[in-house]
Amino acid sequence: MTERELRALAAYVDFPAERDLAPAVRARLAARRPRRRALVLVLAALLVALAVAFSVPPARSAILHFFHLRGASIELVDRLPEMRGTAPLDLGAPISLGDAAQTAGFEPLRSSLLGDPDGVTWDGGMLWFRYGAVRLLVSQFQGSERIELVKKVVEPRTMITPVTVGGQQGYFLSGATHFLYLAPTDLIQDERVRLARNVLLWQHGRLTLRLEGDLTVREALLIARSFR
Amino acid sequence: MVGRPLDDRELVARARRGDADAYEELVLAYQGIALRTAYLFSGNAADAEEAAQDAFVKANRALWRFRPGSPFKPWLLRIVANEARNRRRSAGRRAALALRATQEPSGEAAPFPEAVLLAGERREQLTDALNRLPDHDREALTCRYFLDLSEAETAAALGVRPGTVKSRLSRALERLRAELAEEGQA
Repeated sequence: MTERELRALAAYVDFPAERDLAPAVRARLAARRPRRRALVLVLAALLVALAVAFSVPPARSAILHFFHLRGASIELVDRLPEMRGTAPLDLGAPISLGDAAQTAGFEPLRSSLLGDPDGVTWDGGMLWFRYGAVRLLVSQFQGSERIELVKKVVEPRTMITPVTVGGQQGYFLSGATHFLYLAPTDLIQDERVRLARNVLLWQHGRLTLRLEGDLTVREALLIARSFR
Repeated sequence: MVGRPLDDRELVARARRGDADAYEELVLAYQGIALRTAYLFSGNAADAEEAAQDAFVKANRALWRFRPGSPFKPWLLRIVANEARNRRRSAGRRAALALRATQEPSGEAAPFPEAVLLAGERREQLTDALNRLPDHDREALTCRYFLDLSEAETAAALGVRPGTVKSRLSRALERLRAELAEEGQA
């Protein structure tokens, strides 16, 4: 009887009256853009802290346990969580290179070294260029579109090297597998988790770019500097 | 000519491409159950509205991670549940269900005719017993029976495997009956 009673009880629960959330949600989504750059800069500051801490080995365990910022966090762990395998990439909806600027809302940078990408996708916040022949991924976005959605898990063997690209700060992350992409609100599911290869993260004006591939720091910088 | 209404799959696909109107349709379609879910997990009406709103914003930003073809509702409700649960924990309180002051069942949430037969005293006993259950038992029962989610949807919303939700529901019902029996009410 209890199950039927529970279903019946639902009718008496003091649920809040249904409200139209759509206008507020739409307004908040539209209003988020101006904050992104500030968040990226703070993330960059966190990465500076990481770089400094990693440059002083004894300081690692003492300093680098957890960074948290308004939904963004960088976490140092002794060992990355076990995974059944690398999740398939989901880079959003395919678009043409010609439509990229209009879709993304900014003029994307293009590489004079790599030429046109083999694939372009838009995931709702980040523009992805895929270069198949050399197995490279480049993403670019305005500000920190991903910041509040991403938790980055770093293990101690990761090297973080501060670099300069076009006079602006960047960071090259290499060595051990070092990033886990976790879904928002701590939802950890295999398909949403992915180990990244070596990554160069840098800023170019208002854009933040991220290059991923099996690259040395020298190769990565050469490619990064070709994006204009 | 009136166009065919878009289904979730099409709306999500459009929203992933940045179509704000498509996402607004998803918000309109699911704001009711999102609010009710948020209330069950937060135990507070004001927190529920904020949590539901936050969840819709986060879900929009996370659409690129949404697996095309999978059902949108349980994916969204899991984000809602996490938002609401985080608010409840931040406030340092337990979620407690409350019944409406009126003795009339809500038409919207009363698909079962026996609702009118559930006597006031029995309603209070059931509610008190539910509120004494551990959070994870109460969450499983309320998702399944108050929100009328399937076991698969309940599992997705709670972030556990379907097998786990089955055993959790069974155990929670046993505990609920034991709570009621303790008061001589089973």
